[in-house]
Amino acid sequence: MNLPIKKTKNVLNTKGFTIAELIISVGTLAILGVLILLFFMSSKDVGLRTKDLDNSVYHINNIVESIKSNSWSQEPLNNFELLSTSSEAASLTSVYDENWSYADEKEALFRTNITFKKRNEYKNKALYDVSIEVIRLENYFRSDEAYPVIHTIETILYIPNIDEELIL
Amino acid sequence: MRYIKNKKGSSSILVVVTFTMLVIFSLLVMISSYSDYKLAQKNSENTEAYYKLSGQANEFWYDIESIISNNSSKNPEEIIKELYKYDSSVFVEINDNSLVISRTFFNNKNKELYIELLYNKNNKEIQLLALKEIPKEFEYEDIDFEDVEVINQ
Repeated sequence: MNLPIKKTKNVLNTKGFTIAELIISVGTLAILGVLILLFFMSSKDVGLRTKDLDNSVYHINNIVESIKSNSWSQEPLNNFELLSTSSEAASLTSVYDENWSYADEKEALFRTNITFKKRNEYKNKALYDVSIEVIRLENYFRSDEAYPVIHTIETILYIPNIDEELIL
Repeated sequence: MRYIKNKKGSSSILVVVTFTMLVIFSLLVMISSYSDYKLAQKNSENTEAYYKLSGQANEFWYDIESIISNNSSKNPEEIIKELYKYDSSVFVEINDNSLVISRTFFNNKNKELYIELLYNKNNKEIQLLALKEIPKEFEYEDIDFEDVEVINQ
């Protein structure tokens, strides 16, 4: 007997994905994507820190050797500004842009501070405690630390008296 | 053969392979940049250690200069006694008209810094002869070098 009912084939279509399969696959891909992004971001951050550290070490070495050779009228010492001075101590500062060229305060990315503390004097020479530090004025994007200190050197120098250069 | 001709699921394999490659490459990039950072940190620590030692040597230079100037009227033997009283590790070499004073400074990072000063008895001045880092011998661990055959011509 043929009833006037139209028979439909494949009422339940088994092709395609279920919602659970979709959620699992999209979730897995999202987690992997986040991981990949994190790895690349960390690499960029660490690469930036490496570059800054290498440049700071080179820059501080240059400053120490210039102080030793008393080259106050030449780079890098000629661009330092006197922050504070007394009979026994002095601090100087200078700012640089991202290419380590001298810059204005607005464009500055790095600051170098030098501190001299006079210990003793002998004839025209003096023994100084010298501390030099390089600070980054912007934080790294994977860190919340404000003004991170990139590199610091503390040493003692026995050099010609720098009172005249710094007008102590 | 039926399964090979069936292209269903190939896009999933492509996505999985792409993501795996991306994870592997990002990991490699991260490891590489971390090793660079470690190397830069080692370099900065070495520089810091060098300048700490150099500071000790400069202090030594100042102390020697003041000891000698305070005892400049005394004979060389007495000056040497005063120097040994100040620092027993100091090494003094007596020449006709001069004294060569030297000392080596060490730190916990296996670094050595050598300073040599010359005291001229005639003009009673002290001159820095040498301030240098002593290179240290080291051996690579777990590295085998193959003997290279040298052909005599």
